[in-house]
Amino acid sequence: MSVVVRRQDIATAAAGAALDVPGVARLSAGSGVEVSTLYPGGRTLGIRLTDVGAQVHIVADQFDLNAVADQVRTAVARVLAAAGQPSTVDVVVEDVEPAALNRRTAN
Amino acid sequence: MSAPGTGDLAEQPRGGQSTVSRSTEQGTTRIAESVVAKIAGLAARDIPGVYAMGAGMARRVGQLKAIIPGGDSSGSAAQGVSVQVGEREAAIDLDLVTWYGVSIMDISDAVRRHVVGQVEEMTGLRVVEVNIQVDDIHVETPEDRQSRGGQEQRASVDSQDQQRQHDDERPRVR
Repeated sequence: MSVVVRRQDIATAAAGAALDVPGVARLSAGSGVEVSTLYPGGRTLGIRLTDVGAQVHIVADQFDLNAVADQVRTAVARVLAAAGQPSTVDVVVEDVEPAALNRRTAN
Repeated sequence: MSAPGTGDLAEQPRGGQSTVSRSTEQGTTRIAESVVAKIAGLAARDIPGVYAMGAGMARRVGQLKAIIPGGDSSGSAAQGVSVQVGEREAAIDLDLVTWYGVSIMDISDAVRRHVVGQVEEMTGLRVVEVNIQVDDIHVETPEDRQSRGGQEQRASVDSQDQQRQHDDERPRVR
């Protein structure tokens, strides 16, 4: 008997894990072709489950961006691994909140 | 030819509308090809990103039929679907029209996964292949936006994202 986890649950959980990372303002569907995971009745934007893992597109509101991206990668990979999925995670920082930039220049 | 009543499924006439998916001591269960086609058609339409189904002329005729009051809408679920069903296996061909702006590969992967799951679960047939042909893509028109309640003005991509994300996070009653 194998355990089957629905893609929509994986995508929702992975998106939630990414959002919980400090420095992630929100996920973004990207500026070009929509980044999303499609499933019956809906879609989760900002994360695309692939054969090897996932792509996560974030909008950051904190620096250092690499540190934020690394935490997102770890958090999402943990969710994927727990669901028995391959867990190579590509993180794309789509945008930075203007507020974060202002804070940085003020310092 | 074997005598009638032997229950030999392989001997049943070919080209019929129904197919045997299960036989027991007490009788056989037949599932028509049109049932498989309808399940596949409905499953494909469940995936966001699928705008319509059917190729060219058939699709336009189907749209007309749907508009005419009292028109035949029963066949429309299977529009754009053709199936070949064997005793235990099925192969499905789908003709899709997708929305512009969404990855066709993402859509077809999601459609294939869902169609296989639904057909196998509901009929017990093993789906050996789902071939997807994308015949056209649909570009969003002002009418589409109005029919969605006219909420979003497409002010910016980001606010739209949040709107859609919000929609998707609402718990769905199953």
